[in-house]
Amino acid sequence: MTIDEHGLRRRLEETAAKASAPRFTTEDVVRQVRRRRTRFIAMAVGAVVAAGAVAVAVPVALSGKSQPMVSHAPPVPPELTYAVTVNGRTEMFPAGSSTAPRFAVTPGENLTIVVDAYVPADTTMSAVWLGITDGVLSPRPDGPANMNPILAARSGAPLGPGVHRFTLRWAVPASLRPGTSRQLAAEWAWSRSSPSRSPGESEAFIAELGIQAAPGA
Amino acid sequence: MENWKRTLEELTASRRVALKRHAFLLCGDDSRSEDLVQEALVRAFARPLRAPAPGAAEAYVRAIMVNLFIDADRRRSRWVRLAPLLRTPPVTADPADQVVARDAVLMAMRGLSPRQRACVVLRYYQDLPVAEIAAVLGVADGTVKRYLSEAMHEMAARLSAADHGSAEGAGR
Repeated sequence: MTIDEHGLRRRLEETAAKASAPRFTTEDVVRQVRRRRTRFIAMAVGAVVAAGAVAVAVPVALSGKSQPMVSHAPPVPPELTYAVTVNGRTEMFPAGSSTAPRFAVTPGENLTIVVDAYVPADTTMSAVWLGITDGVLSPRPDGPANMNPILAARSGAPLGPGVHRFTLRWAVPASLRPGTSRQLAAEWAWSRSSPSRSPGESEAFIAELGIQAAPGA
Repeated sequence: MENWKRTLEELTASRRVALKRHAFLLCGDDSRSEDLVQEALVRAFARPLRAPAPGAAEAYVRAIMVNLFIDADRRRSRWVRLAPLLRTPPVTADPADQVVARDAVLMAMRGLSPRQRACVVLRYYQDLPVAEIAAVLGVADGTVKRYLSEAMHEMAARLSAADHGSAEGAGR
């Protein structure tokens, strides 16, 4: 059994027209919206206040004894600028940049890497480690956990503001497959160098070493 | 004047009859459709950061109406299933209900599920394409087509029976 769509449209129009005229007015609806909005805002404010109260109450309750509320911001790492030279080609890696320069290397290649690190004014580093990582950064106070091999380490004398040069040598493992990459990473540790900077350590990739197939391979 | 208030006033002043008719076809009940339109308007404009833009307000309110109708019907049927002993027949009939009782289209639509009914109204009264109906109901295009097909089959049978009945009654 089928139904004529055109006829159905017409009949729906006729039926809809049998609805009585709306009894509500614009003012009624505006009044209801205002009331609902007020309730909604009150609920939202209440939720924010409740969340804030929980955020304060839970740490206090868990701390066991009453302590003054002091916020400890995570240590802010000093921003260093690097010039990285790999087999004679130099790339800058300015402070604040998010993408490390990329160098193409081949399996088995012997690299000479020169890193010039610019330590900013008012900053003193207590230790530095430079080495190769496989995409994982894991800074620790006593040195990096996932840096292998560590190509340079200095922790004896503090490194003050200015340029510090490190010359590294690394033979790219012959077993690395083209298309993969390794990173040259730098980890720094610093003691309190200014009232606003607490001691800490941070690690960063300062160059991407992309493995390419050796010519003629 | 606040933007939402201007949009709401313009919409209500110019389109409230059309919105009421849309709700009437969905519910098949004059007083329920009155409540449905008001509730949809209030919900559309109640959230301070989500009030609709003037050009999209009517479509937004219609979509809310459809979903409110489907949800309300689901809640009511659950209640009716759980508490049959509490149901009491209406004592006084609403005069508007007499209109409903006489209308063959509304009678035929009563046999449809809420989603089928919404599909019929949106497709053949609002002239929305299947994809837009699917977006309003939050279902796939194919599901809308199935609802429409089932609904048309059901309505054809009911309307045909009603039309034959009224023709025989007129012939007597």
